[in-house]
Amino acid sequence: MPRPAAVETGAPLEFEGVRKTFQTHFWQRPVTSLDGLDLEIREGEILGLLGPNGAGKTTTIKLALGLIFPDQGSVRLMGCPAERPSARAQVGYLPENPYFPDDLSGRELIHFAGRLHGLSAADRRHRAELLLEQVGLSAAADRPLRKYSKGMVQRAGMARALVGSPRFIILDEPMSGLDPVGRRQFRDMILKLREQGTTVLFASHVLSDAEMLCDRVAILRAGRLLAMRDLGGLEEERAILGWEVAVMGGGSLGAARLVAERGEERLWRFSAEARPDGILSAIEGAGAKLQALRPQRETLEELFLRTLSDAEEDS
Amino acid sequence: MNRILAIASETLSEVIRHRILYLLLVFAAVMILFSRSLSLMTVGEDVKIIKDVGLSAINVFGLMVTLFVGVGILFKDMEKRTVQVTLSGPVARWEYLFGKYLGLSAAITLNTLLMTLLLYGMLFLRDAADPVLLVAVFMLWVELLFLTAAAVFFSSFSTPIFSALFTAATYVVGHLAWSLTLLEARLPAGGFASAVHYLYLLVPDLEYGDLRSQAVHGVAIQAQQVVFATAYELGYAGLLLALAALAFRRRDLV
Repeated sequence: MPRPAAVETGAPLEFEGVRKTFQTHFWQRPVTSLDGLDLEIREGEILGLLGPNGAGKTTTIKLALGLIFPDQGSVRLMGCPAERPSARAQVGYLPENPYFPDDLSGRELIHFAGRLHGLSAADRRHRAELLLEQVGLSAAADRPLRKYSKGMVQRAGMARALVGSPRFIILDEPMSGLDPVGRRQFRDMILKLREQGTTVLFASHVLSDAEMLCDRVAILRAGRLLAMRDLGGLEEERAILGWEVAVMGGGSLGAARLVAERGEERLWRFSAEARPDGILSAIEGAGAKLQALRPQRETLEELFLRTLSDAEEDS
Repeated sequence: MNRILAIASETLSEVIRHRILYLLLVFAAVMILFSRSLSLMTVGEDVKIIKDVGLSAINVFGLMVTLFVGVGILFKDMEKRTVQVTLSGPVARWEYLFGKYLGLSAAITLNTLLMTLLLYGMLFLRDAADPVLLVAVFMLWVELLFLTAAAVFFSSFSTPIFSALFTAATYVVGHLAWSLTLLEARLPAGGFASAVHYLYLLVPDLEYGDLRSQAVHGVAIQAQQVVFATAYELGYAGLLLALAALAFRRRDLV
């Protein structure tokens, strides 16, 4: 049944009750890759798609792009059924470990993608210059892709994904194969895209990248959505592992452990059980001057593992 | 149309960069040149030998280009998942298939042109550059366009090895289809004869458009036969491409 609401809101991507199974051989039982997935991406956000291997991240991406078809449920891209080519006109895609015809140069790759997006020759030239510059491939623009390193192919793939000035970009493990400088450049590019209003779907195993980039994260496991969290909200949900207190001067802070000391400045750590008012009393009692008091929360990685472990216990 | 042409030109440049193409072209050239040596062993038939071997080379090596380069390129696109990147843009699946077909057909055309030029070069030296031969070459080219459509059709749902085998089988069956009419004539009228008759209608009869013998031996070629055979083979090619688009429309690209 048509869903006009999605057309009105123009949600970049909407999954409703999507189930997808794969059958490798007719005598084998089908393997369920997605099991009733509901997911919606908001305009202008960066959504991280997290999950262990086999969680269904790549299946989700392929369904979004109309490369595979759901057994049940619906997938809507830019408010249209995902299999409709026009839905993909404003979508960019960088696959995991991309492969492009390796006799093409970086520039030819961009030109080819530009032609598929219906850009004029002048626009293609302009976009190629701009994007190759952005991804740091200007010097290698006319070199065949077979002579590119893995990281350079990844950069060329990013430039290709941006050719059509997409409103929505899907990145599958975009940082794989990049050196630290490249990772930083990609992170900056992704953040800049968000500033420009582009919606980003970002699948990754590297949780630190997700932590730095994403507005929200969706945690998948065995084809199900385990959790969908705002990273701001997530901060509140992360367990407190202890308290870190920076003070100037004073004596011992009782049960706290001295972590570092530089001149008068000292860094103390209290256990998770300590209460902020008790910590403040201890500081006052020791005659120290409070500089900073912050909770030590679990990282996204720890939260991710805890979510998976809780789900396993529940099941 | 622009997207189809973009895919076609990209496919053509990929074929042109394919090493196997050059290997096959060299073999074809050697074979055409070798026909000169073969002709020395015959008396008074040397031009016929050059024409016959030359046309056979165009046929066989054209078929090999279709099988190895055509199926190979479609396979590479699937295997390396380049197709997924192409189809992640605003490209319909049928546009992708038609673009690939046009690109491969352009490559087949170039290949046929080069071999024909070589053959005519040989014949020109013997002062026997017969323009009628061009009609036979044209029909060989049409047959290759049909076989390319068959390769695209089989690749749209099958694995590359099977696609190559099915395409080769289509060539063989197509050239033997005429024998079904003989079989039908020998069978008593009834169910089996009707089944053979309908099978003949289903299978493309490629022998009908094969004008090599007529061109080599100077037998008159009817324009009507050329027109009908061209329409017949290209009609089959169109049907196969439509079926390929249908089969590919809902195929999961994993």
